[in-house]
Amino acid sequence: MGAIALALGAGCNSPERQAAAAARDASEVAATPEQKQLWQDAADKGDAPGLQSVPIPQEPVIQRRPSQAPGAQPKPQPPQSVTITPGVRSELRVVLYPEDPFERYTGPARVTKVEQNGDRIEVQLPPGASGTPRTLALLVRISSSPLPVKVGEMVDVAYQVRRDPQVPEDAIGIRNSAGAGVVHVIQGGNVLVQAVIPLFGLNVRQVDNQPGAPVQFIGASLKPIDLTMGQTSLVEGATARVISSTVPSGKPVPGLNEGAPFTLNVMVWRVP
Amino acid sequence: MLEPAEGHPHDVVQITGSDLEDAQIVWDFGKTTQTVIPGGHQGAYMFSVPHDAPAGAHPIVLQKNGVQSKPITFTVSSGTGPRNRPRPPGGIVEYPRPRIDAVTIVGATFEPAGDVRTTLYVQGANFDVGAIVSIMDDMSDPPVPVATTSHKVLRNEWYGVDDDQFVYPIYHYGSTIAISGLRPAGQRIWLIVTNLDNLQSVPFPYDLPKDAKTIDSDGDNLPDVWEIGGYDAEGDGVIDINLAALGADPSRRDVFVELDIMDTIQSPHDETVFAPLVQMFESAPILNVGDAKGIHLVIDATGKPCLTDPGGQAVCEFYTTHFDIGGQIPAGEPDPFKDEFPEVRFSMLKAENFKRIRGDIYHYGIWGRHQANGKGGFSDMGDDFVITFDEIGGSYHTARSSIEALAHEIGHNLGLLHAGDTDDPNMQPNHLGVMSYTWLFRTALDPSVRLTRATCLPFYYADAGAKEMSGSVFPNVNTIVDYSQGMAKALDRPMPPATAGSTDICGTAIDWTTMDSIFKIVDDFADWGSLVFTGPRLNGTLQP
Repeated sequence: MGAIALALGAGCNSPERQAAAAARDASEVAATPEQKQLWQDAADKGDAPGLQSVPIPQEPVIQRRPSQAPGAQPKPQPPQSVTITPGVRSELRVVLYPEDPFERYTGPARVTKVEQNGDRIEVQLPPGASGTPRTLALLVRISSSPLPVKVGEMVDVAYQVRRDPQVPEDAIGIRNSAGAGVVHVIQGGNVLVQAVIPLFGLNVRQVDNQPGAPVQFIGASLKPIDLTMGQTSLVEGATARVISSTVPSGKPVPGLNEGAPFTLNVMVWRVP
Repeated sequence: MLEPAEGHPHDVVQITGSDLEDAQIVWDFGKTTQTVIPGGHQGAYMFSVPHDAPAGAHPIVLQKNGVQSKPITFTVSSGTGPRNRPRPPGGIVEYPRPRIDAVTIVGATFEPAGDVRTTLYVQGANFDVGAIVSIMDDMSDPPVPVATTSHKVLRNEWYGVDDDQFVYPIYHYGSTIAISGLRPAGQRIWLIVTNLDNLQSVPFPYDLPKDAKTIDSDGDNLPDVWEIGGYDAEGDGVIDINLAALGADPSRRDVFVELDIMDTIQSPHDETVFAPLVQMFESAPILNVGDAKGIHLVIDATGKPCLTDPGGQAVCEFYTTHFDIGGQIPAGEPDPFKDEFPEVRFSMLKAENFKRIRGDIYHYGIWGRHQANGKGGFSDMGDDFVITFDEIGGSYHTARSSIEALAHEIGHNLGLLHAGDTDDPNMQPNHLGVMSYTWLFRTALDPSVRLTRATCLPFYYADAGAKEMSGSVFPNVNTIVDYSQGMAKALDRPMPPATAGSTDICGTAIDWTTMDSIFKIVDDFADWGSLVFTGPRLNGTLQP
């Protein structure tokens, strides 16, 4: 009955007839009587829409073999050469990392190169654990001015990058002998964060685990100052800004548990 | 010709030769055990070695229209090896049950009475050639076998790892064509796959299509009418996005990503990154009814995330990005043109740069410098993400790290968490994919940190010989990145005072002290089969 209805409703080469024929072909090669009958029924009832378009695979069995694009460069490569974009007022960026990028240093360093109209400053750090000199290059600009330094001059630098990509532990900074400079500190952890702000003699800490709570700056001759996220203020002759201070919001939210739940991100600078 | 000509029960054997169409396969030809065994779709293209075949030689012939080929011999091996741990039926360690990973549609016809006939494409892990699909209208109903034929097989790659490392070894993936019969449109059905040894998969839910207008054959949440005829965002009859011209195929899953990259990013962010990422998705263990492979990832990285400054100039670089989508606390009101070190909200950049007409189709990502929370990336678990690892260290400036960062955040957008279906533990040694922190940025890590993040190194490096001597990166680093397949054995965390437990994975020592987890038993998770494609259309959520 179903086959008759199908035949009346479909032309000789209609997709429906082709699908039914394909189902009959499947019935022919089925390995069990039950499957033969099921395929025959599917053919009779017009139950196999689209079956006629299923190609017989050229390669029915293939090997999963993830591939890489030819020419892809998996190993570390020199960072793409960057300069400070015209019009940018302030900048701090590492553009040349020491050979062992994870070996930290805070202290005096000698300026070895000043390039790009004063924007790019290269300094020599004292030899690290390997005994070889270490070179660090920074792009620096503060309030539209380069940091005034000369080749051979001693400056103070802070160089610390995180060992764990999910837990910020970064402090990058430079300060000249006149006291002008900039430092960027990002710190993370599983508890309220406190961090040293090198070069400026400050400490900063989260004091409350409530979202939006202020963070506290502390200095040797400073009455503690509370700043909230997004606030900028003078602190011991420098300018401090709390870019971000995050604490867990209480209720876990799927997908928002990317690394350290507590983070603190501050910048401190003093204009030349 | 048989490939291979020797193997073990359940192994898939390919037959090559002429006149295979409409032929049947006779196993043990001329013996008392002679039987017809299932081949491929409409022909004798492949078979699974019978689960109860004893070791020794087994003559095979092909028959068609009453004519038989000359016998060829398949030998069932008696020996064991890395991939053939004895798994006899009823034994302590059995051959793994089939696992359904996806159900898609080959064809459907809708009846005026509100019913639908569908030809389904059912696929998953360890399907025998000849595995049968059964359907239940309700979980409490007995499964009813339906007309089923095997279509394709994708043999899996183990990189030489011994199968005792796996709780669910996946020897191969398989696809079948199954006939659902006439059923109410939109009905939820449950499918089961039964292998030739009668072991069954767990039931897999599937909602039949509701109507021809909304049918989404491949399940990528892009209706077929969009993928074929284009997407009319405003309903004005004008096609705004010609998806077919972008390579969309209604029978292969497509993922579209717009990635706007800030000026002066130092990490590789070109085709050396995007091409391997596209290949990662093409190499997914997903079978399609046509020739197309895996999942089709389209990355449009031609744009920049810019704002126009008060002077009318486009500014496409900001020191800090606040990812204010997805529940993060807004950070006051940053002003990118007044802040000394310019800060910008993600939402501000998205509003300015992401074309609204793309909203139902594309994921949106921004590759920036710093993120306010200091993280190397973040996702809203739906349709937005940010990549911000550019200044966390020079060792990260590799194509491999860029690919991993993108694959990780896109994985979040597709519903994956760090341990697959949970975030705990996020450094899971046996979750063998880039969602785990044991994989993400692995080659960039300080060696002392790398030593604390055990994983199965041959899988990470896609190299059977991979080792990390004293924490050093394996020299033959490539750009092959993957999501987990859910194979790895469970790990048992030693809990004092007991000392027994898992101490290594694939020979790499596990440092449990660094793993912040509440779980004692840690399971792998099948990422590829669990991807969720609803993000863009549900505007950043995975559930309606």
